[in-house]
Parts: sequence; C-alpha cells; structure tokens
Amino acid sequence: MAEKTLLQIDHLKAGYATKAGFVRAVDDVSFSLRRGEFLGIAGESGCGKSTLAYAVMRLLRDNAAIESGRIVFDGTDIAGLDERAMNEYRWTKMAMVFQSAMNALNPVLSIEEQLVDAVLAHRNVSKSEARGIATEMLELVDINADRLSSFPHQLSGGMRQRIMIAMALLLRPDLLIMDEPTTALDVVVQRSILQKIQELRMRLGFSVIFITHDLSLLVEISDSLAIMYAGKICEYGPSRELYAAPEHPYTKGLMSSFPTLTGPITRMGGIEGQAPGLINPPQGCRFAPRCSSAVPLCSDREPALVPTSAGRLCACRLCGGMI
Amino acid sequence: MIKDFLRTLVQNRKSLTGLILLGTLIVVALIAPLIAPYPPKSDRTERTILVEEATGDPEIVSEEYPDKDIEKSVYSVTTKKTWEKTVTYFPLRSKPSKGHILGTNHAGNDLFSQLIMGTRISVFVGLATGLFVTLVSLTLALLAGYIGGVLDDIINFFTNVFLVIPGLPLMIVIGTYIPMHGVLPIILILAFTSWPYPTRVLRSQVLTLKNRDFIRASTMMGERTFFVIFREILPNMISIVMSEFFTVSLSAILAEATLEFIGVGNITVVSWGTILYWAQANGAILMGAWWWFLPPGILIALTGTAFVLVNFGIDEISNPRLRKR
Repeated sequence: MAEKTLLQIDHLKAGYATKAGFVRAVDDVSFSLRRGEFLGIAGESGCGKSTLAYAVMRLLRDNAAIESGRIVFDGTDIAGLDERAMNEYRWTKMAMVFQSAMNALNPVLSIEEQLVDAVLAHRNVSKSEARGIATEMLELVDINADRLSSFPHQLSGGMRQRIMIAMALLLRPDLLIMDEPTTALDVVVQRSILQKIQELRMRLGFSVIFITHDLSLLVEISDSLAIMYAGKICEYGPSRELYAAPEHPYTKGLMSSFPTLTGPITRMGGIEGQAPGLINPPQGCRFAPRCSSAVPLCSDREPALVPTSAGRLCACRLCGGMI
Repeated sequence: MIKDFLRTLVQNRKSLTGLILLGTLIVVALIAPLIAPYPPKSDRTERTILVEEATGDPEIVSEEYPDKDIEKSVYSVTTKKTWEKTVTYFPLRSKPSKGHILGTNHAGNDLFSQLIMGTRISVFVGLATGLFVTLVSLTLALLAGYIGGVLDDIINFFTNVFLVIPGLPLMIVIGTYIPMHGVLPIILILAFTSWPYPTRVLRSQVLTLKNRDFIRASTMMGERTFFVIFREILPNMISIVMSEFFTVSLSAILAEATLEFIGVGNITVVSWGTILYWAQANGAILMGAWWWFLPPGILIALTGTAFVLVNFGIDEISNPRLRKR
C-alpha cells in the first residue's frame, strides 16, 4: 500500500458552545493517516472521539464548531471550505458509518430505495444503474440482493449495520469513518463486522478511522492506535507495540481494565475517578488528578506529545513530555 | 408505491369496511338526483295524463290545377286534446309511509330525498375543507418545523393566536357578517378556523423527525433540502397527515351541521345540517318525529366512523411494522 498521506490534522480545536461556556471537546489534536491505513481512536465516553470524527466530516451542527486548526484531506484544507464545496467531499471521498444503525435507516423506505437515493444524491446516473451499484455493494457486505425490498425492521442489527457500511462505501470513498459502529451489537456480530471491514479494506483500499471505547476490539485489527483523554491525544503508535508496551499511565489503566482470555485470572486494575469536565479542564496534565504516578509538577505543567521511539508518541512526564 | 398503498388499505379489514362506507357515501353524493325519489324542495307531485284526443273532419282550404294532369289541394284537420292534471300535495309532517319512507317535513318536502341530496353538500363540504386545510397546514408545518428560525417564530405566533380564539364563536361571528351564497363561504370559514390545530400537530411531528438519526444521516449524505422533506420526512408522516385530514373533514361536517343548525349558514341549501335546523325549528324532537332528526345524525356519525376505519389502514402504510407478511 502506498505510503502517501491521505489525511493530515494539525492542531485541531473543536467544541460546543453552551450556556456554561465553551466545551472544547477536541483540544489541539494532530495526527496523520496514510492511504489504506486503519487508525483506531479509543477513549472513554465524553473524551471527544465523536466530536473529532464529526469535525473531520465537517458535520458539526447547531452549537458545535471548529475553532481552529487544519484538516488537510488529499492535499486540500477542508476546515474552511463552504458547504457547497464540502458536499463534493462528503460521501464521495469520505463517508461515515453512524453510531446507531438501528436508527440511521428510514423506517418507511425499503433498503433499495435508501441505497439508490444515496447514489442519486451524488452521481448523475440512471435509476437502474444506481440499483446496480447498490446491489453490488450489498453483495460485498454479504447481504443477498433479494433483501433489497426489505424494510429496516425486518433485518437484524448486524444486517442493518452492514447495510450502513454498504451505504457508506457506495461511492467508493477514500476514507471511512466509523463512529462506534458495533456498540449496539453482540460480540460475535461485532467480530464478523470487523472482519468484513478488514476484508473490504484489503479489496477496495480505503482508509479507516475507527472510533470506539472498546480498546480490545481495536488492538488486533488496527494499524495504529490513538488514545484520547479529555479532548487530547495522550498516546499514539502502532497498535501492536502500543498494546505490548503502553507508556502513558492512562493507556496502562485502559489495558488493565479488560481481562485476558488466556492469561492468569487477576484482579483488574481500572482507573479511579471520573473524566474531568471540559469547560474548565484541570491545570497541567489532564490526567494528573487520576494518575497513580502523578507528582506535584504534573498539575502545573502540561506535557507535550513527544516521540518516544519509532512512530510512537506519548504525552507524559514519564515519557519525557516535560522537558 | 401507490399500488402498495391501495393493497394495504384493502387488505386490512377495518379500513376495507371504512372504504366501503366512505365509497358508498361518495357514490350516493355523486348520483344523488338519480336516487332521490322527489326533488328535495318540492312539496307536491304533478301528474298530467291525456284523457281524450279527437280528430275532426278534414276541411278543404284551397284547390288548384297548375297543369292539366296535376291536382293540388290544401286540407286542414283540427285535433282536440283533453289533458287531466293531478296535483298531489304531500302531507305536512307526515310519518314514514310507502310514498315517503322517511316522512315529510313541515313544508311537505320528502325527507328521504332531502337526506340523499344533503349527502352531496355535507360530504363535499367535509372533504373539500379537509383537503384544503391539510394542504395549508402541512405546508406551514414543514416550513416552520424543517426550516425553522424566524419563519417558525412567525408561523408559530399566528398558530398560537388562532388556537386561543375559540373556533365556534368565531365561525358564528364571521358567518353572520359575510353573505351566504352557496357553500363556498362555509368552506372558507371552516378552513379559516380549523387550520391551527393540525398545523401545531404536524409541526411537532416534523420537529421530532428532523432530529431523528436517519434524517440527520440523509442530510449528512448530502441530500437536498426538498428531497429530505418530501422523500424522507413526508412518508413518515402519512398516517398523521391522513388522520389530520380525516379529523378536519369530520369536524368540518360537524361544524357545517352546527352552523346550519343554529341558522348561521345558508338555510336555503339542503344539507344534513339544514334538515336538523328545520327539525329543531319545527319541534320535531318534541313531537318525537325521530324519522326527521335521527337519520341526518346517524349519517354524520357513520361518516365519522368511515373516516376512522380508513385511518387504521393508513396507519399500516406509514408504519410497515404493522403490516402482516
């Protein structure tokens, strides 16, 4: 796969204007994504994962907005594009699988109508051609073409999610953003969906940003992992290395909060306390109040995201982020 | 789509019953003059028969011989016809009988004929008002709910104002002031006083749909505003739109009857309402003349039942879950 950068995010800040103040849900986040790469973003609820995804798609609505930063997609900064220009990118070059497939399909329209509508909204093709594209895509996600006339309620959760994936891939985008796509599904279906995505990625060569709070899902499937905490990336690196030797105390905490299937049964560690509010985030390192390795210095100075070893980044005093 | 629509309506037993009822009413309304035994406003029948026809002797008026081989003459014959005309005045306030199956009213008009012809006016006023109000309130609701902003504030303000004004007194006031020719003024008055409620209901439905995930998803996919409104939102609202249509139609039939009953409407028109008006004015209830005031009441109730039954079928269309497969 080509080592070309598809998406480059620089110092992105985005958030929500509320009565209590501006909630900066994504605070100074930078990362890059190569063509064909599978990036997993993990973190607990409310750490800004979804906001990041919506910001990249430029789908922040109502009181949400991108404050500053650059989102360079395929050589163009899309952070400042207007809606009309953005529509050229959305769905044709970057698509999204939404959190709840249960609700993302219109209950009164058949699967076929919805897939065809999605094609027709972007491509100037005839109805029968659009139907052809839809059928082909549906078969790619292992759904029989005779399901086209079904209504969403006649399908299982896993099938609906696969249809959402088919809908996202209809126009062969370069980037697929998946916002907790398997959250509402059982583990067996989760696994089959992940395998399907992997298989399709090999075949079609798109990049994936996979967002989840379930780190265990990501470890074996993703190329790289970014761990987010309170709106910031606290650790980034190739997923196997990151899994084998986490450096940031928060990542260590996350890793110890799910059991191994094969190893000895031990009491799980977990992380004490709760994630901080983002209106007035704590001074210094945001994880310091919950960190077992925190020293007084941690609450004064904010650690920078610095490279530790090849391709790995970490924002912690222990990794040299204070120097 | 339309085929599915009709099939669903017919497959559901309740809506089939409703459709048959409604269909019957509409057919009766359309062919009313053929069914009604007498003109609704006449109080008599006139029958004229030829009694005798006598032809007199021919009289020669003139004769001429234009040529030696031709004889030309002009005759005149007088025929005398004798006709017999029988005018039968209907009995006033008669009980149901063979000639008048629902009796007659105070003026001797046949009540059955009035009932049949009244169906025409009542059903027409009901459906026309229903259609008109539904279109207006649906447009307002979609604009207010989906586009929102200042437009929503304006539409909402007027909806609120009109919701506060009690409908019936307003109808009576307007009805008293504008001249009544035909039924169009009635339709306009009914439409004017009944748009706010469906607008409010439909607007709130648009608002909840607008924030559903699948609508958000389709806007994110880049579908155009009009497409989202008509393709994604509207089909999800069919049942509520239709139920509003039937509710408005039914209340229009009731309100029309009410206006006619209290004498604000056009009492020269024959409708279920005016039958009730004359029944009331002539003490039909006191006399126990049930054949006079009961049938219009029953028909009004039956129309309502028909609307409600059809609604059951429409529910299935907009909610595919209810369909039997």
